[in-house]
Amino acid sequence: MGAAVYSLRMEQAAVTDLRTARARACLHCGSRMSGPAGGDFCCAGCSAVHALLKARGLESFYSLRGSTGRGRLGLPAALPSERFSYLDDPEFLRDYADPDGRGMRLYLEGTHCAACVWLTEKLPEFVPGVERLRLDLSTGVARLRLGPAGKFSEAAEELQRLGYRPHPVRVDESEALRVREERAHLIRLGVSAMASGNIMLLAIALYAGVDGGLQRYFRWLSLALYLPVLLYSAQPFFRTAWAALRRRQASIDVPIVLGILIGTVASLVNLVLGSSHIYFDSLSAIVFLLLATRYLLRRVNQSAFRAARLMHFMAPSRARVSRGGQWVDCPTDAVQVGDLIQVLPGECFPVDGVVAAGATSLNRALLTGESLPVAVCRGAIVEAGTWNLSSPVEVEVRSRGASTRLGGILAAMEKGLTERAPIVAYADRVGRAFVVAVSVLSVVGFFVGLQYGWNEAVNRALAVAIIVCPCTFALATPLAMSLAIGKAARNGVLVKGAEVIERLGRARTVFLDKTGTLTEGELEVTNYETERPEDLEALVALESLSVHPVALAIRRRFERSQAPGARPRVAEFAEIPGWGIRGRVGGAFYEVRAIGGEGGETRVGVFRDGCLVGRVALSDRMRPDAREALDGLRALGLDAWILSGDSLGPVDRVARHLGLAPERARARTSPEGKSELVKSVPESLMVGDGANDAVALASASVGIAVRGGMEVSLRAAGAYSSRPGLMPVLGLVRLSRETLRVIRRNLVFAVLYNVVGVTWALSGGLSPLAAAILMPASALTVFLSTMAGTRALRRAFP
Amino acid sequence: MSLLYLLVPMALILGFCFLAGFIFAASRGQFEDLETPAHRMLLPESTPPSETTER
Amino acid sequence: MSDKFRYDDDISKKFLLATLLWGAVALLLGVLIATQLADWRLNLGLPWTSFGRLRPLHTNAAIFAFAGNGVFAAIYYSSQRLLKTRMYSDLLSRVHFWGWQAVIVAAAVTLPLGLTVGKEYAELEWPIAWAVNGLWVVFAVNFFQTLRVRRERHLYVAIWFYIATIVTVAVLHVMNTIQIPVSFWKSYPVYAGVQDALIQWWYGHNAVAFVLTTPFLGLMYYFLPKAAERPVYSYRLSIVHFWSLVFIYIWAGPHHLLYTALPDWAQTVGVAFSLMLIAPSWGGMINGLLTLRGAWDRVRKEPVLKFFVAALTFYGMATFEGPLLSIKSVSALGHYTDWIVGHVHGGALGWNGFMIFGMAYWLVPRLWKTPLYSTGMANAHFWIGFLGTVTYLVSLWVAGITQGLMWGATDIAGKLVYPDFVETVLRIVPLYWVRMAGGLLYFSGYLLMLVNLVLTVRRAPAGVQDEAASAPPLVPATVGNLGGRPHRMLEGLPGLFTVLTLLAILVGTVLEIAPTFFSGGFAPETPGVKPYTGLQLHGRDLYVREGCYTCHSQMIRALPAEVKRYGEYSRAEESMYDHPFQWGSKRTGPDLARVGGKYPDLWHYRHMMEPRDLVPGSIMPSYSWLAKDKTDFEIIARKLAVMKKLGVPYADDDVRLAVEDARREARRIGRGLEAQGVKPGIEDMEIVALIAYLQRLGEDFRKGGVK
Repeated sequence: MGAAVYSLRMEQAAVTDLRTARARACLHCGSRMSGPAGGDFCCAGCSAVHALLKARGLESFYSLRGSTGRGRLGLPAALPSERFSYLDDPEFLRDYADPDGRGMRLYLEGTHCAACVWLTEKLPEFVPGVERLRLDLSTGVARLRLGPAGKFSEAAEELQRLGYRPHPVRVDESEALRVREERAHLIRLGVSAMASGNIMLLAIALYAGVDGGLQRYFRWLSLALYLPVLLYSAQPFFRTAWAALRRRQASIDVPIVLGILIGTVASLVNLVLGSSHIYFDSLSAIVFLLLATRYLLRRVNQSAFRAARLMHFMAPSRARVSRGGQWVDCPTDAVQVGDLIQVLPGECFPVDGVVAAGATSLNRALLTGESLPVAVCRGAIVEAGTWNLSSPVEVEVRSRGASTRLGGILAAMEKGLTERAPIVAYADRVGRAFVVAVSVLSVVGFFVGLQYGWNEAVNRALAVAIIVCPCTFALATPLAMSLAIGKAARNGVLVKGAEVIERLGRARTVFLDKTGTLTEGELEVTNYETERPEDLEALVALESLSVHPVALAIRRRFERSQAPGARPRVAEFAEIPGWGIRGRVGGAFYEVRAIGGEGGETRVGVFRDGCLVGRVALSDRMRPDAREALDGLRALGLDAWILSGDSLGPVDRVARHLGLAPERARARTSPEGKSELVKSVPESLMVGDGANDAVALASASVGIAVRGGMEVSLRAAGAYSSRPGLMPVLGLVRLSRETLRVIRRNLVFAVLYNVVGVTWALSGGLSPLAAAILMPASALTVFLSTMAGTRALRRAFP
Repeated sequence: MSLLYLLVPMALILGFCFLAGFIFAASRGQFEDLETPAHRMLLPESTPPSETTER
Repeated sequence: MSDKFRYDDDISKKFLLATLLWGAVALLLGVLIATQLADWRLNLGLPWTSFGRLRPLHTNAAIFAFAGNGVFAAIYYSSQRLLKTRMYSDLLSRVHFWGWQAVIVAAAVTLPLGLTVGKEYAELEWPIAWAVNGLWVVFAVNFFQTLRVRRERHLYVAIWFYIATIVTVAVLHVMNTIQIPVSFWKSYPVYAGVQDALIQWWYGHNAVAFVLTTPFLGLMYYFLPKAAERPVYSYRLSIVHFWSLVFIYIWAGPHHLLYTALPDWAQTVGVAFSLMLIAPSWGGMINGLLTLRGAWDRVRKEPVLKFFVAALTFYGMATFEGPLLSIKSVSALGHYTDWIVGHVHGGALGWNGFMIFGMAYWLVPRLWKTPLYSTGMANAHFWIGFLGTVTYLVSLWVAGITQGLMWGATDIAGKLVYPDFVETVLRIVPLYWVRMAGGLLYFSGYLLMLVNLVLTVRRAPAGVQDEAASAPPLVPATVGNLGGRPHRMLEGLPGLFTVLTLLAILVGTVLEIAPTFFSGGFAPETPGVKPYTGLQLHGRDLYVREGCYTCHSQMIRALPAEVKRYGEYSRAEESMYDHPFQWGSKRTGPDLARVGGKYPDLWHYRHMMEPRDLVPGSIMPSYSWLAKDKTDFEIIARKLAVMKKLGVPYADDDVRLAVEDARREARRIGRGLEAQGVKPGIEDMEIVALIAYLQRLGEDFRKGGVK
């Protein structure tokens, strides 16, 4: 009762809040709705999920989300197009399921708040086979556990229906190892925290002048507390330092280990001799603070890379292979050369091959960059990555996986992205040089101090060894990068690596694709007129049987205004790829075909029994934020070009709208032409459709894909924006620029701090404890400055 | 002040007890996901379907 | 598949109702003793209603009855929901509940009768104290077993706060209630003098920390997000500030003993540690307040959020004021004054009180499944309570600082400007009235709440069942276990075993080792310090019985003004045989460490009968019953025997002839008094024993036994 009371009360508040705050926001995912689609939902996906929730009485999803959503935009729910029977394939389960075959980890797209946790974790109530589902919001990965009779495909389909597209995540040995290693690190941190905290209190007592039995007691007690820090918590430092020394390489752990060893030996001797020079407090403080900064860095890195790393674990695309006479779903890896596969309209060809039966029209944009449909019939060659538009076909497999043409391109691209970002490598090199210098200086300090006595020598050597803070070089730079990647990920832009951020920061020219990037990418009916209303009904009836882009646009415009039942029946329907469609509706013979257009519009004529009775004009609508984003990019000093495979008319119209000089808009450029142009300009940024402009995106110095599937785009481009519009692109470029500025700021501070620190330590003015406090203080300031970034960085994403 | 010979070890034993608790928690993965628990405790009680009618 | 079960809401209801009941008692007592300070006549001249005996009852009622029951209500309600399971055993829950209420009733009876140990916040005599230890084990067993059978793997941060509370309070309470019984209702603590001071304030501060802070932080981390319907600001921060609090917390305490006979280095550790405490405390406050980001408009409308916000702000204020007060120079001014009482009530009324009120207004409608009777009354309660708390605080800040400055005021010649102590008291008596008004306001707000909640409960539908819930059982984690083996057995039991083994070793070690350690052999042999005679020891027990330590201190601090006012500062050895130590923590009246020999016996006699005869304007109650009740000479022998066992150097025949010696000494003092007109037969009355003890204070120093 309690839950119902408060959720009802919240419901009105949440719904009105959504309505008023976001003008016209989609009722389900809350994203801003542009375009005249009318109604409450931005897409069919959202309305389906909303209806499902209402049917199951789960409206409190919205009230929950309204109060705890913390304003993060939801992703539009994907259309339930995928089938998940391959999840139950035993061979698939070997890689992706827990040893007992009842557990699996799924990355759920679009989870971001308590409502998603609540909805997804109610899965057992909808799918009896499921025992439990635990969602981890920070990574978006859910841990699914089946009951004895459960099936993964059922669970996946249900999750899909609830609006969260699941991607199975491979649990390999490295994952379990990473988990155990991270926990061990945390335990070491805990031990050092507890020990250093208590040693510090004993040290305060010793400083404050405790004497007699208690003094000896406290000193030996601080040794006892120091042992676990030395033998257990500091172990990683000893291991890396020893490994580095064995390879005769300098690692940042060497001076730390040096400092610890000197300090420990000196303290032990002094303890036995009864002198007061005991350094257990500073040594344990150093170990604790270093472990803490390393742990923080690891966690921040973890969350940032997790998004990009998940791509790598994604399941390969699926194929329907004929096994023993009927079609069976299985992962593409399992398809052999010579098999017969069936590809339905709206699906992507997973392999290269020859059409064995059926005819259809294809979209070969990924390879040719041309989005107009291409007709294919028996005997024609089809390649992986092309989309089947009109009818199902059967294909005999010729080559698969990396040996396909697309596979070759992607493999070449992937190799290019793996090596480390130059700036990170540079910072690391400087760090190593510094380490060698410090080790030497520490020994120098020892001998310089020797003249003032044994203790002074130890003091100086220890102070020099401790004061050096390699954190800036080895830790802060990668941290800045991973923070940037993390921030981008939180704003819906997945960045593949630190190297992408650096190149984005340095980009000078930006090339933008037209269709799908500057424009919505979907045709939209701008105006129409028909002699008689039944002509219109016939047009809609005919178009509802085809998946051609023109057909989709017309159905979207008119379908809602007609009751589905009232639509007239169509006979002798035929779709001629590249020409149009025709069929008999209510006694009259209708043809609908292109009649050419000007000024960037495509025109379709409706002919009844041979004479023109209606005309429909369609055009590709501009993205609302295109102008604003482009001005932003120009303000950052990038000069912008438009590259498009489309004809001159539309390209000019877009260029004029964006205020670009005509010569900066190139029309009718082939994919090879695009990639040549992009390669010719140094530090070029290509923004385009992950599927259609893959080649151009790959050949630019850095590419951002704003459309197309997530898997394909991230193979071609360095970054993928999962949110519609161009503002994320502007945000990412701004973010990268500011990140480089933060890194430069850190490097300057680091050099200053270390030079001053080392000289001060050498001169003997610095006690080990002061060094032990200064060093982490500098690490903290660098860390905080990186976390804070700059004002512009914090506001990079509008 | 000889009481400290007993009090300080007692305090440290308590500290080690909590350290043991920390190690137990870390090894059970309590600190893996530090975002969802804050949301999960908010969710309304998942009352079993048969119960809802009776409320 | 999913188990279906019901939460045990009845136990939460029981504890909540107990909280509301005892809260009223504690507050009523508070208002009464505040009025007694403002006008001494309110002591009514009866032993059972005098300030000395009611103040301990008020403190115990507020901390263990009001806050204690409130914490248990919160723990029982929230843990079951966070762990998605019913409590492990309904029986243990009921034993814990009824046992706790029985302890409270026992305290309410024994404390006014003067049956007290004389250690602040640990006044309950040994039978009750050990009953509390037992009940705490019952509670710990029940809680940790519930942990073991939980259905939610993750232990939410509130659960960790509860675990810390249970484990630490167990250790603290056991360590501080180790007393050797003399009779069924009298016992002497094992520690003495400066040792007893250290362990008392190690317990005293941590009682505040682990009864009035960590469980309330746990309570905040559950009820605030639930009431605000928003996740806590940063869950990571709550984990960090919990572990940083718990790893090193247990060192606190010495900041109650700054400038006293406690060794200087221990004081410095106390100061350093207290300053460090600001970080974890403010981490909690900030995390709580920022949880309301974006929901501040609801704070205007909803009383529950108002209470939580105000509580968190008071918590921040009190945990800033504490470390400030533990800086040595500030403590020199503030210690023993009303400023400390102001700080305590900033935390108690503001943080603990408001958190419990917020919880009650949120919980009662849910437990009884009926909307709150009137939100308007709840908002009114908030404003009245807020005004009451602020009035209380401000009046005591002013009173405390005035007193501190007046005690220390010296003119250019170095003479005390206010040599007569009662002057400093008369100056702040008006502020005691303002404080009483603040308390009264707070209490009336409380009554408003009682009416509101009673009417709410009365309108509840009948036959309300416990809230049902369902959750799949917990499967032992497969990935990343300690060494990969699922530790089903180890899971919930480590906590339980640690608590039990801890208690075992504690009792064992202390009872065996303790006497040898504290036999006084610790400090350098000081022949000059003599143990009390039998009669003096009995007089000391009267001093403890009447609660004189609640207004008088016996610790002259090493500060120039104090040495001028009271004499040479107190040395540690002077109180080495004091079981329990009576250094005291509040000077409503002057310090008594060197009062011995300052006034003749007759002065003391007439002063105890009617203080205003000798000190016009004094607010000290009159103790006329001391002249009517006979001294129990027989028990003195057993007292000396127990003291001897505790290491106090009594010769064997001291113990054997204890009764005769005591009667002879009493006759000597009695004859002296009768010669000066006091009614005959006074020698057998308790007043004589008290006078013997008062004259003995500071004697060792006077006779040059102490350097």
